[in-house]
Amino acid sequence: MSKVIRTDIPLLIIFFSGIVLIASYFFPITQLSLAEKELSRWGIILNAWAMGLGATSLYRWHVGEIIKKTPGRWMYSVWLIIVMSVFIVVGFVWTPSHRVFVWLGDAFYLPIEAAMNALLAFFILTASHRALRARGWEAAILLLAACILTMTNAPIGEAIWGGIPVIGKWILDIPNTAASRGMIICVAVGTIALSIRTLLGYERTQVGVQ
Amino acid sequence: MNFKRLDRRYLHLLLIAVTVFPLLKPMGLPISIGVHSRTLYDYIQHLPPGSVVLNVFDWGPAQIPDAGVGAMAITQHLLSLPVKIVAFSQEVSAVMMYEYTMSRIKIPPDKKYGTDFVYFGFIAGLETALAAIAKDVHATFVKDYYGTPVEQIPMMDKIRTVKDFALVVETTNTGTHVDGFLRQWKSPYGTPIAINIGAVMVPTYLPYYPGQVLAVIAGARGGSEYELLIKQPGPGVASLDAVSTSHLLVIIFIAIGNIQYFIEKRKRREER
Repeated sequence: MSKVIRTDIPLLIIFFSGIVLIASYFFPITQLSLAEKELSRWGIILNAWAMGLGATSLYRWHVGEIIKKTPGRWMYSVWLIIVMSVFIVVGFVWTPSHRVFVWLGDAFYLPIEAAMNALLAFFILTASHRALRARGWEAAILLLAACILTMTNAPIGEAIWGGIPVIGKWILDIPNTAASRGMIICVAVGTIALSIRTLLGYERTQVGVQ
Repeated sequence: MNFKRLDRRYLHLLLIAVTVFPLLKPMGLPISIGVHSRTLYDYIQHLPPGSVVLNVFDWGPAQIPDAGVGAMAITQHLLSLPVKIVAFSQEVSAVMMYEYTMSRIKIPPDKKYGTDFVYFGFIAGLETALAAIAKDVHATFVKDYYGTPVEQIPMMDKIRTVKDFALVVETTNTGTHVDGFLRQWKSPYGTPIAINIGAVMVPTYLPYYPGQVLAVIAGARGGSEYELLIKQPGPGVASLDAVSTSHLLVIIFIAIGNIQYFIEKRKRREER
């Protein structure tokens, strides 16, 4: 594939798409607005296609694992393909709002994800007495703030001492907000710089050029 | 006794005990109402009749006891008022949470699907989709979750652009969805946005309050406060005692771990 098709044309598409989207934000011109609407629709369609592409890649990788009979892993690949296929077939044959598909979600996906999340409580408890140490002043301050915020979120904190939620709120509203706002503004400035570089073609990693 | 070497299964058993006990025998610890829950409640309560609220379901099953509490309470509140609800999801796994919510809350008999509330299911595209919805609702919400074309849904007749929405309530467990609304809805159009988010994400989004965000409902705690505000205490309020005891246990073990660490440190120093 020539360089023109591989890099130059995609960079031109990125440039024109970006310019149209930025211009339509600042200038209320009907043609620009229509172009922006159309580009947004393409974006949604491409995004949906990307999900399909992801599913295809997942199939390819796991079929490879089964063919290679990768020790200790291939049986999980078989299970993944079975489950994914069942969901896809049911979703296509009926619709995602059909009671069979809803039942599949309620009976399998919902309890599994809820249980996975609940397991975190056990890891946190184990970590709380094995890993969370005040090894220095900075760690001690961090640990203290974490403990106060944990108790702020639970009614028992207020029941133990009325000052806990007051201090917790102060930590969230003052140091947290001040530091986070600074970070947010820095990230925004960085994003603008990166966007300009991308639009002008200086940033080329998205078209596979390092 | 060296807690560091204590079999973790004993700890896990202890955690199960302190979580289950208050669920079986509630302690009824008082829950004070925070400013965020109060602000959102008051804002929704004073919405003019016929206002349209975009209720976004971007939470999964893992969030049922956290952001899910608020999602259900807020949806219940909206359904009790003369407002219209347009709902959709930006996450595939969040679609089932709409059904979950609607099957667990009380839908008033005078509220009809398609006339008072509607769900458009999963819409791909994240921020791009949000920008597209803002400009042209009908072009993006082509069919509802049950396959009905948008033109055949009576309440969607007058809902065309972002300007037709009085409020966005975004329930999520990640920041991606919130950022999109802030950039594509709040900044250009000024649409009020309320976030109902998992407790761990609250410090990330508090800096946007009160300028960009109307309120940040903090996980199970915020949801429980909302349950109390709508005078329908539910699973959130019931779970807060268990949250209290389990959190206290974690704090106790952090303290024990640190006391032990300092004792060991002192011993090592003395040995030298």
